[in-house]
Amino acid sequence: VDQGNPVQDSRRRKLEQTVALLRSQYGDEIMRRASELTRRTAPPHISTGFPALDALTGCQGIPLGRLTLLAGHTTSGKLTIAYKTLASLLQGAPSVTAALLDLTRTTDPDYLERCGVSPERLVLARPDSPRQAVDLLASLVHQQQIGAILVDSLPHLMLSRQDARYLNGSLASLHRLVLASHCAVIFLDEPQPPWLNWLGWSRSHALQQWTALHIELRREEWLYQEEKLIGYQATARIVKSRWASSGGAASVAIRFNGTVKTSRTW
Amino acid sequence: MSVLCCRIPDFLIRLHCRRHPGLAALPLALLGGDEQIWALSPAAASCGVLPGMSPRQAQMRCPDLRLYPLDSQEAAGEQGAFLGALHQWGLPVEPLGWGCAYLDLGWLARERHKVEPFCADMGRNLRQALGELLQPSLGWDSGKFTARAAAFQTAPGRMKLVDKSDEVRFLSPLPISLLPLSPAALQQLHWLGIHTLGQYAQLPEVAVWQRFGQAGKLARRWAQGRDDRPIQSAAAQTPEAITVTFDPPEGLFGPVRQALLAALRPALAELAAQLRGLHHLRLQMHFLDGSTRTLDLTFVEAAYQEARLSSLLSHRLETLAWPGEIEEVTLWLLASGEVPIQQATLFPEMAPREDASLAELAHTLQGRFGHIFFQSAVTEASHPVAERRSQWRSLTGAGEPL
Repeated sequence: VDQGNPVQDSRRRKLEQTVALLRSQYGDEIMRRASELTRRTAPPHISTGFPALDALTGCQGIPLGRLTLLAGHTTSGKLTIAYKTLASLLQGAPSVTAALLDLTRTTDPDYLERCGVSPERLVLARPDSPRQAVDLLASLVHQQQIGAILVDSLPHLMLSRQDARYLNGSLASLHRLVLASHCAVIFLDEPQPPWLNWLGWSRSHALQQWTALHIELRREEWLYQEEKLIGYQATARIVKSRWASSGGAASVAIRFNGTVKTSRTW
Repeated sequence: MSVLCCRIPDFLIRLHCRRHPGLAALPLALLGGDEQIWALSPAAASCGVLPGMSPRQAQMRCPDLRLYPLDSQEAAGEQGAFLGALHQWGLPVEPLGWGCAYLDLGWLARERHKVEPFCADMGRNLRQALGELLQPSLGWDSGKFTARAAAFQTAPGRMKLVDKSDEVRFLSPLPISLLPLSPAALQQLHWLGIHTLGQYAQLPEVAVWQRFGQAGKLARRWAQGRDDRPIQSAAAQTPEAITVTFDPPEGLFGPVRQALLAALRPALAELAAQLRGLHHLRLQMHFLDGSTRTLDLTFVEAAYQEARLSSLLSHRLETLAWPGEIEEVTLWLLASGEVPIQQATLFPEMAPREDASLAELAHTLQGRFGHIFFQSAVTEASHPVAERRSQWRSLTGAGEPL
């Protein structure tokens, strides 16, 4: 602002008066100068347990207080990464708890435990309907007692067009609640059927708008050791991130380590 | 009455930053003796860090948070210097936590034109005594609450003088969170659409009493600018003694803690009704072998919540070497003061209930969602079939294991 210009001075005075009035009414935190903002290197986050993937996200893992979407085909590593993230959260802080919305009704407690998730600090919920699942998700976030919530999975929240509309209508309020509660909400998604692509309809389009981090996973190759299957190599690609440019990819090696059967059954 | 509230914002943090100037712009928190966060900078508060959190919880919310132990001796020395500077005028002074105090200007100045030069003089003296970084905000009014609200609405190095005739106009648009009510009460008011002191002041007295009790009724009077509490200087406060006798003598930590908390409960309830809390508690423990131990429990901010007292009491009792069984404990409530107000924002954040277990959470939600909550239970850890090693059990105590 030009200090000598009376018009500019008058405008500056008016601006300062308005700022002072707003601060007196709503508190000092309502408004602050850009110069007063502190530069944060990384937002609150949970490590995924895979350093390469953590570095790729730009926020050193899965962000707290945000929505995250992990997408990929079956056996692409999204569930393992989600479980490892929960394990990392629970190992980090002794009083933090996590929740799992098991819409697929296939969650294996043994596999969870082998991934490092403490069973006594994880609550599993099996809602009866997609609508109930959406309401439950909002309630769990609102309770502010849960550090992270895993939703397994998005297609089961959108079984019908009405369910999809209900979820999409709730996303704005869910986003606000998540921001206030500092809880990480992770959605798992699977690629939609090709005929939906042909119709030009994207199932997770609305959710993608609200997510701060969207990672797509793809299995690249199986890993063998002495002709024995020990895991697989997957590629994680950043589709969207508030802290890093999209398009970056990293390779993660997911090893079974006794967590699943290692003999070939297919 | 003529009350001046003198407040140094973020006193402990600024004190630390005075020694380490490079930390001023960073998110910063100070840890007390009980390994919990006692003071935090505005940058840390904006990341969601709350007083009373453990270091790990705080770092989860703010990874860049710098944690330092609180130098209590230095803080006490500076607080003494601050109060000493206020005592220079020979006026009654009521300390109100770290870097905050009330002054009774009753016999010195009652009109605005007389108070103004006095405040300017006091501000200059305090700046000289404590340095540029610890400048106070001054608020003046005929009552304590309005003076305190004025000090909160003023930047450091400035004063806000409110005339008796302007009280209602000044208080009306201010956020409800300036009242030292509990977070739960503030949340209820927020849900009811009551966001400002003016709206709260207009509520029917009986309705406020029914919903929020004596504390809510008192807060309503303050919101109306009717606060006639006198200034109580530190010397005027007389400690009350409470004696707890253990017959037979007790050597276990749990029962002793429970008995002490039970003895303190009525006093805490009485303080809470007056929107006051405990600052300093002294315990003198008489053991069976004839020895005596004295513990001083100091709260950085006045507390009336039993959980906070229990936490600090547990920590101190556990770290004390007991020479034998306890015969008698004498308690003195050495200092009490006003409960700190919440962060002065329009929509205060609800403090998370860290102590609640998952089972309690499931019980809370089962009324709406039914018996859909489960927890993993290991049945046969070494079973060769993965599906047999553990299973899901209902958390709400209904239904068969899955």
